[in-house]
Amino acid sequence: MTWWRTHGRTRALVTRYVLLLVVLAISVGPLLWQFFSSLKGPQDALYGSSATFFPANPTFAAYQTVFEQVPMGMYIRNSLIMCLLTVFSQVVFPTLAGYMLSRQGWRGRGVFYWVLIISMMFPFESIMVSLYTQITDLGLDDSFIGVWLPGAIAAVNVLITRAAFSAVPNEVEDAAMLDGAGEVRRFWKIYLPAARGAMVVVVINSFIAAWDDFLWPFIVLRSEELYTLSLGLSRLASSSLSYDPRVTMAGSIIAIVPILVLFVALQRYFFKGVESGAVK
Amino acid sequence: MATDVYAGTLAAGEPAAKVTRPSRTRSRRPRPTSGAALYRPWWTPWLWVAPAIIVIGVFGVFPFLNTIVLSFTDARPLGGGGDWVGLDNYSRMVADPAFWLAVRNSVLYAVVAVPLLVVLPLMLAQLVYKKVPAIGFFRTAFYAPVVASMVAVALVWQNLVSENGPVNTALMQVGIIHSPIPFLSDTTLLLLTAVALTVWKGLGWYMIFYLSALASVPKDLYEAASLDGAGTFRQFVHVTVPGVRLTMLLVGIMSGIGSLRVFTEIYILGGATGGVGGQARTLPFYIRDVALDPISGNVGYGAAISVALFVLTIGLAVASHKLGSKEED
Amino acid sequence: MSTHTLTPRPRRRARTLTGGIAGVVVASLALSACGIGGSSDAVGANGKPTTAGKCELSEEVTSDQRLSGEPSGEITFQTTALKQDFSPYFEKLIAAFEKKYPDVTVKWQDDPGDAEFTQRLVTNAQSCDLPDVVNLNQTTAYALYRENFLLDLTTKGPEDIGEPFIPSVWESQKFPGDDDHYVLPWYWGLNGLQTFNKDLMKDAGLDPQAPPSTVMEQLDMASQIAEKSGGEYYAFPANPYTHVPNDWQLMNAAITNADETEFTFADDPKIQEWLTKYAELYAEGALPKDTLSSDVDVTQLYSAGDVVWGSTNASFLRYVKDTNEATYDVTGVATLFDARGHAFQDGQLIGVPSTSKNPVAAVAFAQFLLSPEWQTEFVSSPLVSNFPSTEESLDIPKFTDITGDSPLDEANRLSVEAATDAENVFIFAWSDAVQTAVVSELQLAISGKKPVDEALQAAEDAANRILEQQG
Repeated sequence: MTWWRTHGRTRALVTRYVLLLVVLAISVGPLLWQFFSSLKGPQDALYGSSATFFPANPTFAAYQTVFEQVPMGMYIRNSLIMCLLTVFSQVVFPTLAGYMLSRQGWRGRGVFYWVLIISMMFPFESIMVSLYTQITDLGLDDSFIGVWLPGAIAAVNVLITRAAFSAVPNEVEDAAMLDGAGEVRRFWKIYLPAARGAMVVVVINSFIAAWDDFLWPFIVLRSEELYTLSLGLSRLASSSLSYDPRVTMAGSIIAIVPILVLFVALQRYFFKGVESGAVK
Repeated sequence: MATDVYAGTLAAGEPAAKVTRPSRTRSRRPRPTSGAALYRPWWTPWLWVAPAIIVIGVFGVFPFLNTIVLSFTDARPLGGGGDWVGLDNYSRMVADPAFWLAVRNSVLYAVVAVPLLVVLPLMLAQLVYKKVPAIGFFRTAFYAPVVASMVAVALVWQNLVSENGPVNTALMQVGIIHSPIPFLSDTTLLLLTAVALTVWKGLGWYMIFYLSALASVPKDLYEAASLDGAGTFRQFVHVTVPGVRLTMLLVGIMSGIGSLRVFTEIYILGGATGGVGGQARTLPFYIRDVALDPISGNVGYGAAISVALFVLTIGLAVASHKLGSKEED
Repeated sequence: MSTHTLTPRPRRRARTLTGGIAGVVVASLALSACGIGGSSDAVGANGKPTTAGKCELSEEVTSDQRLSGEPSGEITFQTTALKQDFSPYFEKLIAAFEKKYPDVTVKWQDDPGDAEFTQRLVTNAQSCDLPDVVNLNQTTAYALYRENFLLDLTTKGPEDIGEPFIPSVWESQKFPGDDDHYVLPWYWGLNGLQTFNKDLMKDAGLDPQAPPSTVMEQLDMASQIAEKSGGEYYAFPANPYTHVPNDWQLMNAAITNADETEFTFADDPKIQEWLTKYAELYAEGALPKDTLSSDVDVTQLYSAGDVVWGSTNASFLRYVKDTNEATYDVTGVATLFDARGHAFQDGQLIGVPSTSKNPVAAVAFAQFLLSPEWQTEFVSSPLVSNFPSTEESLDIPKFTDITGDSPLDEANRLSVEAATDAENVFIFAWSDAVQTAVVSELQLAISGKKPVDEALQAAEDAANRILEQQG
């Protein structure tokens, strides 16, 4: 006990890990259930009192079935194309708009702001039909562009980047102007580095949005050659004649992996926001 | 600048130094235009925002206006009807008890979910912010529910909270309760269970907003507080919370919009009727029921309810701003 | 709004707002000129409107002549949830069709048939973008028919279009108050079987050799199950969603008036008795309490051994086999026809939308798809436990001699027997909206929140209101 009392630092660390483990159990417990269910063999019951948490006869058969039943390579390729398109447009254009929105002293700024807010507040279902009609009128149905365009620039991302740009003190801008730096140069050299954290958040958010989106691509896309992963995986649950929940769960595990990999790669950049930029 | 009031609230990652200084002086007092603006021709800003304004205008605002127009008609899902009916849909809405029940549920949902989604992810971010061994693993694991497939998650949750599920079994073994809690068949409990699911899925999502905001809270403030003898909790309340207050507002507004739109969680846990007797239906749920049935659906009425949902959302955004600026004073 | 004017704030805010509102109003007026409200009431030579929703129909479709000419052009064919298991079949079928009609290209797509199926179809219809040949269910077919989205096959198709089909099936596939045919029957399944866990039945002191033969008998047995099980297992999931209107139809209850223009079920004593008993079962714990409204999959509860009765559909047994073989092995199968005395047909349909750009090719493809030759091949697949709509295709070994005694074999044997005189009893007035409204009220009665008669009356009123709205 004396050790516990005297080693404050160790105590704090132990407490921290205990808390981390508690939250870990809550957040990934249900996902682990899903993962272990996907590894169960046909003899292992999925539900009920005879069902166990860990599979008694673990097998990757369900994963094999996923790859056999649907062209996963094609779906993943299509999803990646959609994600690249979306991430590109969501990073570039909202950043430009967010920067200008953070600058004061131009006419129309307030109206633009309201347009952003309004566009965020409508449930998708109530504008969906109208959107689809627009897309068919433009001749963009059954194409990647048709899926991508309406969601190419999201208002929320303009607001997120705008918030990061606003955080740069005006004195920095004034100093740069005295040095003769033009608008584009100031944007590139001062503001963009300051908003890196926010931009990483935008990358992750828009990647996930494109990766997970289901209803809208489903309405726009007809040709299976264009199906994204989330559409393709819905096939696993949709067979009207045979259905194995293990395969569905395996499919949804496969769909999570790329996003988690992206997250692992990007998570340390969340901390390189304002403080690492030109503010210092 | 009516809008700058909002603009201020949405400034995530505002440096703490600024936060402690009342930002009201910055945003509200009319002041001379900053230097840069003087060198900008009137059209330059529009050039920068053009792509965003075109896409958002065409695919965000146009359908919105279309919905407003539809709310004054009796349009049907398959294209029948469409005649101007004036305010009929709105007067029907005001007299419709099912509408008010849905409003109540949506508001209740937001009132419970928003505070949880504002505070819990911040505590979580605080917990994973410090670099300790394996912290990358924990951060990723906490983010995992965000990307989990809703269908699979639903299956798990139904099992978790069912009468013989682990939650009830555990509570009964400990002796806290004697009969199972009807999480799925009692309307209020169903809504709360759905809130729990929303919070579980939202924790990691909002955590990353806080992570980038925490980066801008000066370390020396913690050290100073620690020297003053402040414990973890007091440091959290007196240093962390003021430091990320603007991000808290952003998260509040975002989770508020999300809560008012909630549909999937109720559908998954409460079934196609939306809870026993349809009593757990939220506004989007009711809009679907009213508008989308191909035979008896009424798009016009659904559009009127969508407009009501929109007004409610704006109201919530204004309310959270008011709340935020009050704390500031 | 720039910050460098010095007008006091409140006024500027007001101006921004009024300006914004004015903008919205102007835009709305511009909008209302197009898009909505434009549907004309013009009638074509065939006596039907020349539009479907906002879509203008082609002269070819609205004339009073039968479709004629060689099939040509590109058509889209949409199935529901069949790609997973039948890709090779449909690829072969399409290749054969394209060989027969070289001027036609068929593009096949498959909808997974999930909860959003109807919504996608409606969205397509609104944008005049329906597939040319489309797999429908009764509800969506009726919805499309009501808005003139389906081609009248009796007057526009070839005269002998009904020839190959089983006469009873063909005759029963009409919409209320219309003698013409707008859809063609495809494969169909049966309702009227019961599947049950024999071990649990024995445990509850019931004889698995003598399963209930009426709906009310089943509810009585459920009572006994509640007494004996001690909450370890239940009779069936509590949500009445899967029981109506099927149970009521089996009991021969008066659900609607004769021409299906008004619901009358609240006054039927059989239904009152049914709901009273159902509510008692719920109160005494015969049904799992937490399944009253949720879409808990009966397969899941049944395979886990939590409930005695499973689905009424034979193909469900395949799922059970996949998820828990032990439960599958102790599954019993029997018919449950009650007063009706027949099984019910639950059919898939094929429609040709009136908006099709190549209706000749579309009709030709629909006929080709449903020809006895191709249907025989379809139902011959060991995966299919459904029946074909052509008489000739019923006459294959798979249906005529079934050996083996697994639950699936037993279910197939009983199905074939019942198939010969199965009825199509679909109530077109019973739309999805009616289903939801009625079930909501039943749930209130079952949970004891509303007296039975009050709930039934409220359900009937709600259902009749929906009928009224749809006009």
